[in-house]
Amino acid sequence: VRAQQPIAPPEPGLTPQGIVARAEALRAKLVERQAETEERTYYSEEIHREFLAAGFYRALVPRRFGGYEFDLPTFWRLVIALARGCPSTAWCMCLASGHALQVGSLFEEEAQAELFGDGDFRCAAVAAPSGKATPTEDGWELTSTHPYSSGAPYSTHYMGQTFAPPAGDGPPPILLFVAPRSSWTMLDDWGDTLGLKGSGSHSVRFEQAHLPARYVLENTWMVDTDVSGGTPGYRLHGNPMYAGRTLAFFQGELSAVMVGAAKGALDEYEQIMRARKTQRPPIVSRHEDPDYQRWFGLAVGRIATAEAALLQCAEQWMELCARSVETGVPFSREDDLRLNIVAREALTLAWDAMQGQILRTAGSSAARNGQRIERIFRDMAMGWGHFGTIVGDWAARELAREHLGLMTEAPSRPDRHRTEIEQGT
Amino acid sequence: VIAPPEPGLTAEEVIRRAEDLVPVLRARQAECEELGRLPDETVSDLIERGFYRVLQPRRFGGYELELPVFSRVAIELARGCPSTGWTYALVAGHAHMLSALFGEECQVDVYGEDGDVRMPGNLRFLAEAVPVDGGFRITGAWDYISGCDSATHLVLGAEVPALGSEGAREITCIADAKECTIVDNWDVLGMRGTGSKRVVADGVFVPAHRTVGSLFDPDFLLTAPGRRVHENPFFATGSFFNLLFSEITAVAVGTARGALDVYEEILSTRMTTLPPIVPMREHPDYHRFYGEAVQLLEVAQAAFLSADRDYMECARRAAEEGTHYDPELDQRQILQKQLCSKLADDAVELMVRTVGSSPMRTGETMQRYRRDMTMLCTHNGAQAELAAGRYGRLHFGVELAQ
Repeated sequence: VRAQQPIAPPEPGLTPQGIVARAEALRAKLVERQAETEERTYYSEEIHREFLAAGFYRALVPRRFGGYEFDLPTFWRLVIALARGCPSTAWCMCLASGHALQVGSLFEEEAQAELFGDGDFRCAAVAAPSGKATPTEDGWELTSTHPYSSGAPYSTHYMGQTFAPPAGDGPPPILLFVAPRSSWTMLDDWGDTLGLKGSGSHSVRFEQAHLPARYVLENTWMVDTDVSGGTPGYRLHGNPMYAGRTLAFFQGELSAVMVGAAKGALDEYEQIMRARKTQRPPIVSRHEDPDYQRWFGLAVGRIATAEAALLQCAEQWMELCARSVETGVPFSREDDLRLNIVAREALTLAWDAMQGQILRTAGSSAARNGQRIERIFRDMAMGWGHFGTIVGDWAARELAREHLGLMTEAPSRPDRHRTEIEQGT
Repeated sequence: VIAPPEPGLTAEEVIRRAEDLVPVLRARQAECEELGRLPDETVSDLIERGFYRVLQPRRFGGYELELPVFSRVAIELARGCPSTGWTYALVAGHAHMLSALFGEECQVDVYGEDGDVRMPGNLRFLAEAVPVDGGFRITGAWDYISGCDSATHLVLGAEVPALGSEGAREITCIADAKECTIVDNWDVLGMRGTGSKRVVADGVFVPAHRTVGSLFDPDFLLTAPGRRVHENPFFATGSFFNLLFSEITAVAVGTARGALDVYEEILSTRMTTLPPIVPMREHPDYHRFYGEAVQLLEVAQAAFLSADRDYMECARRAAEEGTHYDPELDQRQILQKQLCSKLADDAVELMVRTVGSSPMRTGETMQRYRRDMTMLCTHNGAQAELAAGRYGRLHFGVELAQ
């Protein structure tokens, strides 16, 4: 395959600050649309066009293929800014845009050129494997259903994991694949949950879909990728960001949405403080009340700490990527686990502020259905119960085992075992 | 004197009946939530088992049992269905308000011939009370009246407008529920089955003997006419506002108990989602999570019931010594009960975080317990740190700067 000419992004001069500012400018509109986004189970076509025009989906798409190739701190800033307006919308946008990083890292040039096209690329993905693929002459035939595929409504592609037929007595080999929209359909099965009803986390279904061999990687785990041997993406793009590990990245996406959601709740809390009076003597405007002042201050502090930790986590992630290609010191699994835990601690702080200060003291009227605090609470409760936060307990133990030299066998793979159990294999 | 329906009913038997009702109430949770009030069968179940009469004076057809018995019943009902527990606790707890604060003539009138009274209300002065012959006509609207659908009476705050040289004054009155109308504006995150709706009165007549002063006036609470009607120290000297915290805390503890029941069921049937893949009940993390939840919950319940016993003791001592309920101990008990609510919430929080996403699907029981507990925690009677501040001020004799 001959290297093709790089494709310029729509706005070559767009800066990281510029793209984040665009997300901030959209906040009021996203807040206004929260109810209809929940109702529809994903954001509107109009918002989608705004995101397209703003270049959000191209944030992590490689420059060579018409993307902006911004760094991870910029991407998480963008997600935080959108989540401050609407957590569901941010989750849907984030999960459709974030996986450009893995596709840009793990796949060979020919596949990347076809998949990214001119850079208009959105790719929902779920790490839990599902279904089965059988080998064909030039690729694979896939039949599978992938629930919780957040970002699916406007996705041009889907990235997922499935199993190849078992070889002998061993477990079935795992496959990582990317497939264009023409090969899958989206089911109408999202919205019936406590929160994040508008995140577009529908199921994606493949029925005897044909995937060319170059879109399928054997024995590759999306969330825990071994990059110690280098990546095709780094060789192609020359940017260390495309040589990184993924455990911290996936946790950080969830945490960015939750930190942004908490900032949105804080915005609303401030409005309530200015508009309402205390519930018990002395009856004064809440913003003049010492208790409310303290709760507000604590909430601001916790959320700011969460955001600072998360952005620093992204900086460290970039540094580990750079170090691995510059000095050859690998981006280790232990490093990735540590950053995964940092990102989860950031989420925990944001949740503490929501639960401990904002929701508890905003008053019962803020828990009425349709109130902004009520919706953000449900969204954050959904994020708090997400698989990603449970992985945190596992990650803590894995980190200890890595650090203490107890990894005598192959590292455990969270999603693999889970799926094997569910499938009875 | 009205005889209670079952003169020999004991505390143990009442608690046992509440425990027996737990699975029944749990099976009706979805229906209760859907209706936005207690199902009719539940209302009858609570009446038939004598629960509404637990605190009611013997003289007026009640069982006049001790406060911890009431709290135990409320815990069990909330365990089966938090909305049911809440409705029960806030309604049945008002037996104290009626019997300790309102005059004898009022009590004879309201308890009527059979003592069948369910009297929720809202004490804020949200109506106008116009003096008329023999009483007042009240016009206004009150929100958050839990249990209004199955009420016989309503206790409502109102303001008598200024007239001539006399300034406006605040009163608390008891209206017949059937004379008021209900507006369904209860559309909330959790506790959807409490039916804590708006009640509207449009010129409803309230006889003068069914009114007293403001229940927010601490001096009135100590000298209210009802204080002389019953000998039982619970009514004669028992703290009024303290009771509210027993009601709320019982529901918090019961809700966490209900969540623990579901948690145990899930742990007994599901596998871990992360290696090592074993049944949750065999995994060391889940042993710890479950143990911690029980720890939080048992400490909460023990400390709560102990505060209830202290309440009875304080009331007894005040009656014997001819003094008032000790104000500092009063606040200390409130302090203690509010922390128990928080511990119960912490237990639910722990369980929800570790139980996985699928129990958060709409219609799942665990999701409902979580929403109900969250709703409870937004109530201003569940703010442990505010109570802490009040206690500290009281202890050091410092007034909050206005």
